[in-house]
Amino acid sequence: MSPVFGHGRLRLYLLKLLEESPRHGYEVIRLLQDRFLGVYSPSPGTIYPRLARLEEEGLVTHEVVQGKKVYRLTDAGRAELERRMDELAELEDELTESVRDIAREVQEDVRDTVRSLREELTQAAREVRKQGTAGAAAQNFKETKRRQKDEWQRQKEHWREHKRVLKEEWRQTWDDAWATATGTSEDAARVKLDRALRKFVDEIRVAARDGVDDEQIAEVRALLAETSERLRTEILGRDDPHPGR
Amino acid sequence: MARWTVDEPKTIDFDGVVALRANIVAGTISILASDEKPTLQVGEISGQPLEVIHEAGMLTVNHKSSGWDGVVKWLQNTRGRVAVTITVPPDCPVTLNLVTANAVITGLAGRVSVKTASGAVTLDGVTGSIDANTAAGDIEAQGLAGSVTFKSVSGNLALAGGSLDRLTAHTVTGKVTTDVDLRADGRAQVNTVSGEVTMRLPASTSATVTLTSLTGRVDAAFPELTRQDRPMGKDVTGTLGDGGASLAVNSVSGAITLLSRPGPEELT
Repeated sequence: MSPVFGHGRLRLYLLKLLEESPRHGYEVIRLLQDRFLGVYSPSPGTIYPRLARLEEEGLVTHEVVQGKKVYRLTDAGRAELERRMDELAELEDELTESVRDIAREVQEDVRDTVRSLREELTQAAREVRKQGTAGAAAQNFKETKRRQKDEWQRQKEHWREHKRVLKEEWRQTWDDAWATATGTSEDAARVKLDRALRKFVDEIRVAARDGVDDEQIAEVRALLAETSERLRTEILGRDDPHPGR
Repeated sequence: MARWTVDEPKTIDFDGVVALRANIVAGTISILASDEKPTLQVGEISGQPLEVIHEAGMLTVNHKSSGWDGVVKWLQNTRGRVAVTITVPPDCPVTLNLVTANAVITGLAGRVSVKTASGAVTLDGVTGSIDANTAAGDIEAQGLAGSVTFKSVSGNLALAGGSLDRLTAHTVTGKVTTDVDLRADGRAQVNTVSGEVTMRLPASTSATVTLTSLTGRVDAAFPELTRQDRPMGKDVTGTLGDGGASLAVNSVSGAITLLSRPGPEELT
């Protein structure tokens, strides 16, 4: 199924697993799955015949415990494993490498599956549509159009809002992440200040959605200048040893 | 607390990890479930270093950068990226915030929460609950067994195989494609504006079904369902089997197709 094991390698690895402790076939399969984080999962049809072959060669033996065959290494098996110690070390290294590649394999595997699923479902959908009748005649066409337009408008509004919220949420997530990651309270405070300022700008923008005239702009400017002055001198300048920084 | 700043390929082992949180801007991050010792492996790194913090079992992996504005600047100016693989215990909750980075997640049984701007997320054999929130990133998954919440603007959702308790998907233009079983009392709710929805359920499914599209076409391969073409949109509703589970799909202009997967005995 997977090129994880080269020729004869699986056999060697089975001997190694049985050397660690006597095990039954299912346990061997589970250990292999664990070793490869679920990506290589050998079927019983792969493992049991191999165990049987090892038994024929006299390298393993089995006894039946509670109805299950428990395999253990024979002395011959142990000798074989010792003889191939170098090869086993090499195999271990290669397996570590292949675990590293697992993520990539998973990604390719899922992508392939999804791609073929899409193709299959597209094809199936086409067939279903062929069988089904074509859409009913457009009655009340004008009425439909009008209602659709209303619905669209409503949806558009909804999603515009959704998008804004999503965007804001995003920034907050990031800012929080960095603040907690870098950990200093100064950074966290700065993030909070930025957020307060941004929130202010957002609120005013929303309030001015329907347009502003020159007179209003002038008033806004005056008020902002005053606010800025007071913030700098009365609040931010208060504890700051370097005013005007 | 242990802290590392990683700027070259490196492997770090941890005694135990009870939760993982990663903020990655660009590159790939892979999270694999394993009962062996938790490990973080940086295979490739350029540009910004990666900051790794392990405190009270909580593992945090961050691209060092200063807030969202820093991220934007970074994306505009540099081509830095990282390839990081992390193995954690299967029940470890994982939170990922990604910008353009891609993620691969396998075998987790705990809670998985992923936010991405444009990064793609690949999930395999995740049995916990998955919460994915993306602007333009695609989510592709196989063999899931839990619940999925998906919110996206233009990102697509594709679920190949598996069995779900709960599926909630909201997209604007993103397509939703699924081939999963719905558990006996499972709930699936899919809403899109213009995204196409194609779902396949086993022919033996028991569920109440409501499929509604305002201007898109609605097709269903289950003969038990009845179709209504009203002036205001089309819908297909009805009950399959004893109606234990529920499926509701809603779209403004997206086409909706519900397909039926024959059981294994019907294939022969």
